[in-house]
Amino acid sequence: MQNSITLKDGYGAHTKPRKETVQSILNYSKALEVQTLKSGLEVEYFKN
Amino acid sequence: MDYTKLSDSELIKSYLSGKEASLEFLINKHQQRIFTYILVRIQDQDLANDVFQDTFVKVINTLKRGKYNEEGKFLQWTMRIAHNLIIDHYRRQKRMPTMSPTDEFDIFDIIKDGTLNVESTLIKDQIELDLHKLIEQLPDDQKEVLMLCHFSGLSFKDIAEQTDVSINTALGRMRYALINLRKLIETNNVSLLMQ
Repeated sequence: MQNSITLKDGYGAHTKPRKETVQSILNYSKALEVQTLKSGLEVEYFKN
Repeated sequence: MDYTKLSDSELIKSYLSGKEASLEFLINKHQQRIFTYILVRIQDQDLANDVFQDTFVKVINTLKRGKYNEEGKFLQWTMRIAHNLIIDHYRRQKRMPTMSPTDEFDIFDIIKDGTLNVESTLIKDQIELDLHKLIEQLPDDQKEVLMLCHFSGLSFKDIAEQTDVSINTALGRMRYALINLRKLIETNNVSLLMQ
C-alpha cells in the first residue's frame, strides 16, 4: 500500500487562492498605469 | 486567442501589450503551485491569500515598469517573490508576536472594559456620596486620618508628621475610624457594593 501525505487541517482541499483574491489582483492590474515621462521620470497612477 | 498554446513569456508580452486576460490566464495556470507553496509554509488560509495577493502585486509592478528580465522563468521568479514575502511575514511576526483566540482561551474573557456605563456611573456616584456622609459622622481625628490615607494616599509616616502625632497613634485612629465606619454602615443600612 502506498504512503499518502495529508496536509494539516485539510489544506489539500484549498490549494487555490480565493476567487476574490484573484479578482483583487486583476482589478489592481487594470487600475495601475505606469508611464515614463520625457524627463525619464517614472510615474505610477491608478485609473478610476 | 487560445492562451493555452502560449508560453509564459508570450503571455507576459501579450499582457504588456494591454491584454489583461493574459495575466488572468498566467495566474490560473500557476496559482495552485504558488498558493500551495505559500500555504504549506504559512499554514493559514487568510494569510496565505494575503501573501499570494502581495506576490502578484509585486509581479504586476515589475512587469508594468518593464523591469522583468527573467525570460522563460516566470514561475521560478514568482515563487522567489512569494518566498521572500513569507520570510518578511515571519520576520514581522518575530518582531511583533501576536496571539489569536482559541476555543480554550480568549483574551477578552479576562480583560474587562474599564469604562462604566451610565447606570454604573450613577451607582458609583451615589455610593461615594453615602460614604462621605458616613465619614462626616466620625470624630474629627479619625475622619482626618481616614481622609488623608484613602483620599490623599499619604503613608502613615506622612500622616503622623502632618497631624503631629506618632505613627502608632495615627494607626490607632485609622483602626477606630474603620470600626466606627462599619458600625455606621450597619446602623444606616447602607450598601457600598456595586452589583
